[in-house]
Amino acid sequence: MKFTLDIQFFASKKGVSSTKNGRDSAGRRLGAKVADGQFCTAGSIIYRQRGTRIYPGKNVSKGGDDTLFALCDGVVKYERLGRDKKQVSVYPEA
Amino acid sequence: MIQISVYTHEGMIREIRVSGHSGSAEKGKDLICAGVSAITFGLCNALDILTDVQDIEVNGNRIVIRTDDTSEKVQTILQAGVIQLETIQETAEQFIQMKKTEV
Repeated sequence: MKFTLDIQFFASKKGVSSTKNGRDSAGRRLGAKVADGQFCTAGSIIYRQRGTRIYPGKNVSKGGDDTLFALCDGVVKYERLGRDKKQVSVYPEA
Repeated sequence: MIQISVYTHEGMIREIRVSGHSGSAEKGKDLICAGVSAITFGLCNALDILTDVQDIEVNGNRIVIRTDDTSEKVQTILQAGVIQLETIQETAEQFIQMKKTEV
């Protein structure tokens, strides 16, 4: 025959192969838990992070997973640290 | 959607154009496409073997048959092809569109 039959001549694009992607872990809800100027109590978490995006300042300490938490009751302040870093401090109310 | 266009002049078929993608399933499993492909390729071979019709274009996903031959033999073969395509189109309207135009 002059015209060889292509039984899928009018089919759409080639068979779509499956992808091995498409998985992702749940969001870790990182970031600030207490805003600037807000009051917080001792031991409360101020900032969750991976690595030190923000450094601990006065009356703030860093946990094992780099979480920043308050060492005393007071008002939270986000401040600059040097040229390109940030820190967070807690200032007890007078 | 596969588009089938049939152009007639004074009631005689002058051109049949079949093009497009069926999209009813992925390539290799598309039954609608298989039906239309089989009929259209069969029509092309029938015309090639049984008649002097030469203007048959097959490329990409488009087949175009053109003829000025109004003999009973050629017109019967062309009509038979159109009827077969209509038979599929009736049951697969969402995948095949047929249009007849008198030019």
